[in-house]
Amino acid sequence: MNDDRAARYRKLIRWYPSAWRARNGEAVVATLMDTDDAQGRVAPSLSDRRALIAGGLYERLLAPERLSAFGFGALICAVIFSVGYQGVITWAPGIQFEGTIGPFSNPSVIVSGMLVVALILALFTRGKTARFIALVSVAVITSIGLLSSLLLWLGPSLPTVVVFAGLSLLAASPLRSAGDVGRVAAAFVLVIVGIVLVEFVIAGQLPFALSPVGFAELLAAVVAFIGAFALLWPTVRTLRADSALA
Amino acid sequence: MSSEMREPTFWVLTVLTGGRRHGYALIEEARSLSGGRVNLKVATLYAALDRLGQQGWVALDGDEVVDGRLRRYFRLTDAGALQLESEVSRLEANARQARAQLADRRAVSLSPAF
Repeated sequence: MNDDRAARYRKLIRWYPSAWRARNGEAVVATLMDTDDAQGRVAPSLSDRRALIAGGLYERLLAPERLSAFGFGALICAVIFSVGYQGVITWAPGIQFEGTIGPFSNPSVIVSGMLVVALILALFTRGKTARFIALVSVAVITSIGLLSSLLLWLGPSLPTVVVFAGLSLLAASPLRSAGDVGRVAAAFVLVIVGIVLVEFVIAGQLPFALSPVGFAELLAAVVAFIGAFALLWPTVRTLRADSALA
Repeated sequence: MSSEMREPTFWVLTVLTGGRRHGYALIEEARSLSGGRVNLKVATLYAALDRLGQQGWVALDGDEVVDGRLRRYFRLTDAGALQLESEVSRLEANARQARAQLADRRAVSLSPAF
């Protein structure tokens, strides 16, 4: 096999998850090259390229995947919290203020909607899409929280953002066992501890010096974040291997 | 099962009734049997084969390396043959019905008008 030419074909199938490539990659590359040889081409046609891109994105985001019981449980918890938050905290028909959306006092209702959609998709075996939406919702709620604090909206507050983000992250993680759930949940708790400690430091900090207590709090916050990362690392590795097993 | 089978699926199963085939041979034979109408893209073919494999209608039948290229062979399973039979019966029944309707229409149009 001409290695340079094969390498160019292998680049094209990188749109597919690594698990799919491990399973089918060489056969697909060989078929592409056989087809192009027969038609006197040295590279795939434009329509073949488009089909490979569409196929790869489908395998990454839309191909059927059943969530595990733990995955479903995490997603259901996220939906129950978010819907409860909207119903109890943000439901305020008639309120007129910057950052309100319809009868909801802050835009976190967007994230609740995303999580509900994710749950519906998961029920129809679209687990990959559901986890992707849950992952995107982490970025969305974080952005909404930042905007809220900058523009002085009626919420969501930092603790609410942290809970939303933590539950969404749990729902987005490939949870296969109670150990996975424990690790991600413990990482989430450590992140909360770290954020709280940082807030203490910011609140108590002297203008030009950090007190011994402040320094200890900052150090504890750093340790908490490193601990969270260490707990999440196996999940990150599973995610990477997961796209190899899709 | 009476739901309509997609055309790539139909032709993949039809080609495999002739025995095990690898990817390129499947594409070429599908084009030949369909009179040039069906040009399966490689991505479409392997998506179909993945799906058919999950459904149990097609099975892997070994890999061979020829001139440094991996040839992956597929074969039709008994379940796949049954599904194809069912689809062919459905298409034949549809074609018979349409043919009968067309014959009636011709008979009406040929009868003298008064």
